[in-house]
Formats: sequence, C-alpha cells, structure tokens
Amino acid sequence: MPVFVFWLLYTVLCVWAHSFFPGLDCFAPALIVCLHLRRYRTAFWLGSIWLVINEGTGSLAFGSSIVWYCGLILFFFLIQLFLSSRHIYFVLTLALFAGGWQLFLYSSMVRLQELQVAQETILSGSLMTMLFFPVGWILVQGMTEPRGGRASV
Amino acid sequence: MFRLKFKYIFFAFLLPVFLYLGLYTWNSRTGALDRFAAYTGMEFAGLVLAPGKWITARTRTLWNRYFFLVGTVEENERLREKNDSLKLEAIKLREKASELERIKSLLRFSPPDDWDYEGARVIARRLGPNAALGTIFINKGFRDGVYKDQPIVTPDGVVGRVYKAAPHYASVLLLTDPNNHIPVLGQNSRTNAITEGQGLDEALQVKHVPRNALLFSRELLVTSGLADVYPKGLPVARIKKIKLLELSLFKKVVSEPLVNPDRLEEVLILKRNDQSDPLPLTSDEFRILE
Repeated sequence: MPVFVFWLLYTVLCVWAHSFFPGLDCFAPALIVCLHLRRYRTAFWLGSIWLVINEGTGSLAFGSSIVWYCGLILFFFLIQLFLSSRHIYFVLTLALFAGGWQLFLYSSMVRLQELQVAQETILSGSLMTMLFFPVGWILVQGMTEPRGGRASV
Repeated sequence: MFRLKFKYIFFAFLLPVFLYLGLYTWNSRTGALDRFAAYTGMEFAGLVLAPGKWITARTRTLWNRYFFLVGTVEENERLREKNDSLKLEAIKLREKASELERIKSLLRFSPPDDWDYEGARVIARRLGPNAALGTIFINKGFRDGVYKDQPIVTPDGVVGRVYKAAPHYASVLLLTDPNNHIPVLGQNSRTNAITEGQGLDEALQVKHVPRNALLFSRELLVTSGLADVYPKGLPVARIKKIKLLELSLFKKVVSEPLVNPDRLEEVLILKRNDQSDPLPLTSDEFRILE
C-alpha cells in the first residue's frame, strides 16, 4: 500500500475513533513510532497535520497540541537514554508518561484559559490515551516496520 | 565555557519557549491560528465524519434487514418472505415517520421577530484530546452564514451557541457545559438569573437569585435577551429545586434543561434578519471599533 494512502486511512480512522472516544489521541503513538523508526521527515509532516486537526476540532486556544507533542517527543528521546526503544518497558513507560502528561497539560491549559472543566473529563481522556498507547504502538509498528529487508508502508 | 553552555540552553530551551509564548500571545490577540486550525483541521474532520454518518445509517438498515431475516428462518418460506418484507417496510416507514415528525416539529418552530432559522444536522460530539468543553459538531459553517455566538435551538428549547465556525462545519458549546452562562428570567415571576451548566446529563445551576426574589417551583426559565446572544423568550430549563441557604444572600436553585444534548440529531440555527456582516469581528477590528 502506498505510504500516502496508508497514513490517510490511518488519519481518517483516528478521526472516527476520536468521535467515539472523546479525549483519546490516536495520533500520538503513530508519531512516536515514526521517530522510533527514524522517519523524521514523515514524523514532521504527519505531526504538523495531526496538530492542526487536534487544534481545529478542539475547544482550547491554539497551542496545547504543540506542547503536548513536543513533550512526548522530548520524553521519547529522554527514555531512549536509559532504555532501548525496542523494549516493552520502553513502550509502557512512554504510555504512562503520555497519560500523565496529557492530564497535567490539559489541566494546566484549562486553568490558564480560565475555563471550567470537570477533572474527570480530562482524566478519562488521559486514561484512554495511556491504555491505547501500547496497542497503537504495536499496530502501527507492525504495519510500518521494514520486514525482511523490504520496507512495508 | 559559560558562553557555550548559555548558547546550548538558549537554543535548546529558551528560544523554543520564547517562540511558543510569542505565538500564543499573538494568536490570543488576533485569533489567526485558531481560525487557521478551524478552516483546515475542523474542515477535514467534518469531511471525514459527514459521509461516515451516511454509511452508518446505511449499515444499520442492512443490519436490521439481516437480523429480521435470520429471526424467521423456521417459518414457512412464502409467509416468511412476505412477513419480512412487511416488517422491513414497517421499519423503514417508522424511521421515516420519526424523521418526518422531527422535521415537522422543527418546521413548526416560529422564530422570534427579526430572527430567521436554518436547520442543521449533528455529525459528532466532542472530538480529540483538545476537546475539553462540551460541544457538538453541526454540518453548517460560515459559508452558510453561521458565525461565533449564534444561538442554536430546537423547538423544545435552547441547545447552546456557536463556539467555532469553519467554512462548512461549526462546533456548538452546549448549555450543559460549565462555561456556558445564559441570562434567563422566570416566565411567571420575571426574576432575572443566570444558568450555568454542570456537565452532560446534569442539572443546570441557576445563579444570582436573591434570597427574597420570587421564583416558583416547576417554573419555566426563558432567555432574558440581556447578553445580546439569545433572543428574549426562548425556553431554557424548568426549575427543579429551590433551597434557602442559611448564610447565603442568594437562593440555591437547580433546573432541568429542556433539551437533552446527548440525543440531538437535528438543530436549528437562529440568524438575525438584519445581520449585515455575518463574520465575527477579529480582536483587531474590535479594538479599532472601541
């Protein structure tokens, strides 16, 4: 399958998943998998597109997604100093961080913008992202990692 | 050595932080990035979700057909076919009748003077990790004359107001969201108050009702038209509970919204007839006017 079609389909499916599970971010694991596979250019373009989608569909002022993705990327490189990114503990640690980071970031952003949002709303989104992270990682890595010398999508 | 370290810290941490803060401040002043995200990201999400709604409806119909056919396998072949086709016809007609009923009730709605209305379909609810507020997505945007803060209603009552508008889609802040405050007055008592949401499926708080103000149990609360967002007289909620607190100067009032935003399929957008410029003012334009 051509790379463009794969990522377009992935994005469409993610938007649908977002409509069923408010607060979940399905794009995050795919972005980190792109970094793990050292596809930095793909990560940059996809990250920019997903950022705009998240900002456009969201109800916070522009900027939260930039910090959200930057934090994830920073933490990805930080954990790489201690754990191999092929290790399952790496993915689990990153999932744990993603959940905690989403909870902290969106709670702060909501306070910064003087909005009233129930903590449970943000907490449920963070939990969903945390639980989806390993699943998303396995799915995306399974479909994008080069197999037997030949790159899949 | 110190200069090298400072350079490293500056480029790795301080510069991105300054850039981000600059971008954030510039956007909060102009709203340019918010508009850009709405015109691109929201539009894309709308384009993805709108056809999906149609596919879901078709799939549901197919599933219903299959389900009913499987349930009658043991019956006589001829009778079963006839029975099935009649059942399917009934389901289709029932669905059409309920849709017709909904549309008829929308058409029966008479807008206040100087206001016109237009129907829209709900295509999604809260979307993505950024969707902290209680919102719904509708299939009409600023190309259809929808702009920020436009009232959204049903024949039963107020739904909320437009929060963000893209070219063909818009998000609506629901009346049940804690950030949506609607100025209301009691239909009989004429006491002014403000409703505040407490979340989906939760009652509305009615705030700023003085201790000695008149307010009746089960009284209907209608929009007062004070904030110049909603026209006067639209039903919002019905009073559920009134409590007098010993130390407070205000009554504690809880009301039930007349519309259940969780079950909405179609809504009405209220438009001012004298609206000459449907696009919202930008912060710069607003400052110039001031």
